Amino acid sequence: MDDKLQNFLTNAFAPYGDFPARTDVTRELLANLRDKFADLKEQGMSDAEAYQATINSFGDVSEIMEQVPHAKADASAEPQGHKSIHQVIKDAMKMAKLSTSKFSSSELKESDLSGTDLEDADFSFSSMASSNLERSNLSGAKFRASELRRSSFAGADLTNANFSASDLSDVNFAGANLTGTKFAGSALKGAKFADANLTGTNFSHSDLTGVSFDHQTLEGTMFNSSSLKNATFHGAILHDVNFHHADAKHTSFDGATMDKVTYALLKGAKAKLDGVTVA
Amino acid sequence: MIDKQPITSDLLRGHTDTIILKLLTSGDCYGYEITKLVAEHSSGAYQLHEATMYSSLKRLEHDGHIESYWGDETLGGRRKYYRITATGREQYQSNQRSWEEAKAILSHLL
Repeated sequence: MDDKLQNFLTNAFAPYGDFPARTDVTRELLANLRDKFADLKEQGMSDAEAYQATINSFGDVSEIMEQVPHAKADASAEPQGHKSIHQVIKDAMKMAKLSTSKFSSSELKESDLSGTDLEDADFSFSSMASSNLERSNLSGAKFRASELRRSSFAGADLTNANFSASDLSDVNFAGANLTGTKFAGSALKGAKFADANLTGTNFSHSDLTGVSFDHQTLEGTMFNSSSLKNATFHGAILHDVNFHHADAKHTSFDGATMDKVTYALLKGAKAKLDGVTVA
Repeated sequence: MIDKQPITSDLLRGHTDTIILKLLTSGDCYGYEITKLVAEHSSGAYQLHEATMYSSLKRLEHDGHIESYWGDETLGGRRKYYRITATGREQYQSNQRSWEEAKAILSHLL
């Protein structure tokens, strides 16, 4: 169990690389976590329950780092001949096979995490603007309430990933696998989805202003209560797509093909449907 | 869930430094002891996060309001203890007065 608590701390501090007081800080925090864990066990919790409760009440590591001198997480500030902080994180992840890792509430702006195995990793509440996650395995990953504007997920596997309530403006999802991915309540203005797999993707309550779904095949995709102002579905094939309560009045479906149910839903949403083929 | 925080959490968080100074006026404490005492003294209503506490301890130490020393436990890991300094006691008195003033003002306004 000590190993698990130690790992938790190692992961929590991973984004900061090496900093002078690191050994001292983690030693003291580990002692605190051990004490808490032992106390909860004494109160009758199982190992798993006590571990979960201990890490749940840990809080936000960035709060600690405000008080501890450390190098800025900025590649350009690194001395010559040293690995950049992002390279350090990336190497550490690869070595530790950090699938199922927690990076929640992390400061990872402009990180290069391309081609990395990050299955089920948790990046919730993180600041990751302009990051490169191209071709990474992010199936089941969590990015809830994360800041990801201008990041690229091109070619990434995001099967069943969760982006609820995140800022995804101008993000590139070209060629990504978004099967079952949840974007509920996210800002997606300017996002690109060319050649992405959008089967069962959930865009409910999201802002998709001006987004192009041209020539896409949409199967079971959910746009309920989303804003689709000036979005385009030119030449797209729509099957079993949900537009309940969507704002589709200023959305263009020119040359799209769709099933009767989808057509009826869009008609109810007062969408302009001239040039649509019902098949 | 043990980490469920009431809505007042942010309001209380702003007083973490003073809460810790007050605890240390009645004796030296190590990290987990502080979070545990905060939970006990508030009847479980305020769960101080480790990170919030640690950040506050480092700030207080840097400002000379508290000092730390390693304990001499032989069993298990060693604990780092914190002791309040003379300026820490003054700071606590001053924070306490500010709070009383703020409370008086707010009681008229809220």
